[in-house]
Amino acid sequence: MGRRKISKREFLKISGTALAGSPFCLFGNKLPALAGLPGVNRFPAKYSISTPRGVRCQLCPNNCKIEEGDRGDCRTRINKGGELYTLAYGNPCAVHVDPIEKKPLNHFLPGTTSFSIATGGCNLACLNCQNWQISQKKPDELQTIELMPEKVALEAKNRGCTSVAYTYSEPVVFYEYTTDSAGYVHDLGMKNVIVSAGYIEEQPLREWCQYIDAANIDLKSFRDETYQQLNGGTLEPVLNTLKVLKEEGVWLEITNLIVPDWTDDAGMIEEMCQWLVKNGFEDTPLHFSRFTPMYKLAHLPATPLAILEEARRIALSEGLRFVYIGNVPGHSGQDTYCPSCKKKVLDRSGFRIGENHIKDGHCDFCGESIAGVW
Amino acid sequence: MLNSNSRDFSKESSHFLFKGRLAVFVSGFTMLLVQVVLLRELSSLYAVNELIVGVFLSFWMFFAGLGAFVARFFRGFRWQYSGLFPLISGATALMALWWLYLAKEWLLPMGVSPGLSDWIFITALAAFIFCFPTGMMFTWFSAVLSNKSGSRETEGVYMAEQGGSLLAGFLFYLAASFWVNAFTTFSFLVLLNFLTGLYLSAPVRKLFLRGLSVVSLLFVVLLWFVPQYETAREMVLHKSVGHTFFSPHGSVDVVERDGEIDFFKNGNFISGAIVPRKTEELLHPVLLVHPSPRKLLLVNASVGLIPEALKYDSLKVVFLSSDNARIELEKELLELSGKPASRVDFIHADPVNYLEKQSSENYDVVLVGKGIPYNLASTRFFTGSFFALITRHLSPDGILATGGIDYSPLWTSHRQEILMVMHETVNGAFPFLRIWAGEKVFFMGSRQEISNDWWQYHPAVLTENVFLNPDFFPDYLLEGQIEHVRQSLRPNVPENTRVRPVLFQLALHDMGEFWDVKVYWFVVILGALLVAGLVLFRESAKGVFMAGVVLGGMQITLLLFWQLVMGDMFRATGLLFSLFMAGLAVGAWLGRREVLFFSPRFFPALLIILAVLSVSAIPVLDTIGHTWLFPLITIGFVFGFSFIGGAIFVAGLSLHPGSVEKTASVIYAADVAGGALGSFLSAIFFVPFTGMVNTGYLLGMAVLIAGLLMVKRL
Ligand SMILES: [Zn+2]
Repeated sequence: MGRRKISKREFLKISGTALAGSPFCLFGNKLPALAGLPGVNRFPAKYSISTPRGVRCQLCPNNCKIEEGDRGDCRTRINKGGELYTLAYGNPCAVHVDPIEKKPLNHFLPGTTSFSIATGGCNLACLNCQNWQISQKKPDELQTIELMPEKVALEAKNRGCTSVAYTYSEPVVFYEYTTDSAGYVHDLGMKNVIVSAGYIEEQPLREWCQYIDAANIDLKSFRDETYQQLNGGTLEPVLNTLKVLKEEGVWLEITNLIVPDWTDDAGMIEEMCQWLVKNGFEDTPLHFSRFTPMYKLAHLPATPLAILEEARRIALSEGLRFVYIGNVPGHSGQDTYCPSCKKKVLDRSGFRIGENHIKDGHCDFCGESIAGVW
Repeated sequence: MLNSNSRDFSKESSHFLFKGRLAVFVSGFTMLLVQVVLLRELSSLYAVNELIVGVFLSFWMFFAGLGAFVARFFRGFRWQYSGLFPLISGATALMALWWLYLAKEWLLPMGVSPGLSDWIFITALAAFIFCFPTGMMFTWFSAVLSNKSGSRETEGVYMAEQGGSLLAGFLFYLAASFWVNAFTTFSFLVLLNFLTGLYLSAPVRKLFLRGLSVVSLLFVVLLWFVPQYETAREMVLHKSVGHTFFSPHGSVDVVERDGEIDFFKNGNFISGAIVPRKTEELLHPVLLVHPSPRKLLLVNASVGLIPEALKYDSLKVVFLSSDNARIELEKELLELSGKPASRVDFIHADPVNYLEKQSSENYDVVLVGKGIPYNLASTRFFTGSFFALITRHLSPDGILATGGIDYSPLWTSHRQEILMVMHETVNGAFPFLRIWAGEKVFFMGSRQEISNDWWQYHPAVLTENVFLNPDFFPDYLLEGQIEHVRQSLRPNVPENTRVRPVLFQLALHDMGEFWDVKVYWFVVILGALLVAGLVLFRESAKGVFMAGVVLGGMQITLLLFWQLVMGDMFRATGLLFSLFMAGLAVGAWLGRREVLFFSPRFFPALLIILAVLSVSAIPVLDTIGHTWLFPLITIGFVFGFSFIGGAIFVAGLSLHPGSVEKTASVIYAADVAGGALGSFLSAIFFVPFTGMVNTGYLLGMAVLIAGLLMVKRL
């Protein structure tokens, strides 16, 4: 009997070891290590307050309460020793030169290029995120390069860019990096651009405005419920951001992505346009952007052209003066028309600027003022 | 509990034996058909890849085993309840199918695509609904018939079940090209099982029950005439489906919506007709660098490229695909584009086999691929050997292009590794390589250096393009992005091969990032279950459990390897599965008769033979992968595994102490629980992470140890 027991135990032991050992086969299969190792820079974060329950971040409306060692929802702000630090500083995971039209900014230095950077993380969690591979990751999970603020400005200058864009993921979550870089960027005579969801508290936003020259803000829908379900945020702070940016004199353009079944309701679009006009955004360019199946919404169809065109018609009839259709190559809704004489004043084909009839910010044909930074 | 009232005991007993075995035969038939049809429906609704096949099959085995195990706790095993089981089995089959559709609508509304947890939950519940009650039939009929005859009938029941499966597998394989939609198929199964239930209960003497039977029968027949398929699809897509193209690879729904035509392939939105920016870039880069392309071959290509190719004067296009639904879709898109079909050849064949057989054809441009190969079937087009095959079909100045992966200002490490592997594989087959990096990345291999400007040769095409032209890709942008890709590449990455599909492994990592789950956790849980199985199953059940793990694992591995060589998994699943089951039945028969070494006395030897088979199967099959021998030898291995498996099952029954229903339920449960674990572990972990050869090796080693220890014990 004793013998039998031993062999049973042995059996378990050996088969257990064999199977437990099997995962180690993985190591033999590893690909060569990539050169860009994850970079972590810890840098003191602005806008936080210590509470008896941990640090409360006051940068964005999430207002995360962050306990020792934890991070906020954005994955970039961490509590170490009762102090809030940002892990997204000087370690961009994306560095790229893009046409400014790609942001999209249609009334801001058209035909120029923008040095575009991003770090990992985001304070929203959109189901249809285009850049989920960085936005839904921690900065230290990604391959990054070291690029400190001063270097950002120099690189941009060297590559002949007119502006630096903080984009791709969400510049709010690398706020300190943007403000510090922006100073150097201005010193070298370039502009600062943010492409953001505008989900930020008013106080940090006011400070931001001192550095930013232009902003494209995503107004993702005009229903709070949709904002919560689709994006994980709320509507009110975004509307406030629009008002503050305008008030502070930052050049503003608004993007509204029309997602079938989620944000394609004509009534809602009308309501949104009425609000914009009522609050003085007639001259703010509005981009209706086409959704294509993305990330967690791969089972939806792309937005039908008819809906985009209908949205544009609604916006124009509500009194918005510059309404574009985005993400539909070759569509006439990408050109700029004079709101007064209705003639085409700026022809865009792809990222190339064609005939330009805007002289000193005015229509060449009728003299009407065309808002923008030209 | 023998029937003592019977006057002619043996005659009545054989009458019941026939009825009981017929019921189990129908159940086996139903189970396999339900399995393959649900699997195909799952792929067509949720765009699953092959791994989910493994997951689904393991849930299948697990719940069938659980049903068998639980059934031992029934009391009395009285014949008159037998008729209920087929009724429940038929009804739950249809319920499981409806569950797949309802789950999509309830759990994933508004176009949200399923994540791993959704997949697992949905497949688990579908398997449970049907398998749990149907699995009870095994124990039930084993016990009932043994009661009636006074001897152990478990093996007979086992064989009847496998026989039914075999028939269903063949039917499915033969009928795969003639589509009968899932609801029609299942309505037929409901009827079949209903009739079986009636037959088991016959003669029905009470008037009320007779009336009820007739009414129910009418209802079941009526099911055929209800447009279930249309209703279900409409519910999921929120629009009425114009028509659907079916193939063993899945389905393409054609849906009209707000004046535009949308296509959904296996639930995912695709459209070639209305998103020109995608289709243009997926084709033109490679054609632009060829001065005068005359013949183009498209393999595993993205949707809607043919109208783009026809922008080149006098270019002939060959569209090669093993998926008939894809071909039908391309034809429809071509018709919508208004371009003439005269310059296009559609060839319905497996690309690898087709190109191997062909010798004379020469192409100027061959385009392979549509982005990251998330399924095993498409990784076979990214191997060095496939590219070498392509070189045989290229004209001297011909170009091969592959890739189509989204360009990104950043790469996650897995994406970057995928690029590196693709680059390395093309580099291995061609002396010259050129990179395109617009919104997509392509690698182009050629025998002569291509150094022309992108926009030089075909200005007329460029003016026709809305997107792919210098307006969208100013030189600084294009050159900058190409440089970025070049800098991201590093040498000495492993090559993607059939037995070690590195690309598939990376693609899985990429998917894992999407879901934000770590596969390792599964392994920990499964490992714990494995240890639990080894501890909980006692006596011979332990050996049967271990053999089940290996058999389940090797079954999946063989199936996946078949997919890599032949490229038609969904069709082959039913056939290989049913052959496997037939083999189990034969093995059980051999074991019952104690033919040769198929005997309980040689239990350890059986385990050791199983180990040898596991270790040798994939290496042997890989060396003959290019020959006509492959299907034959694969089937040989399938039989080898299953004969041994059947014999081990019987040996386990004989060696296990206890009553008939207890032994039957324990051994059956050990067998299927092992099989479920083995296939799950292999599909999710062993195959993608260690490769197929190592999977066989690991499984073989585990069972070898078990066998050797038993030798020591005896
Ligand atoms: Zn004017």
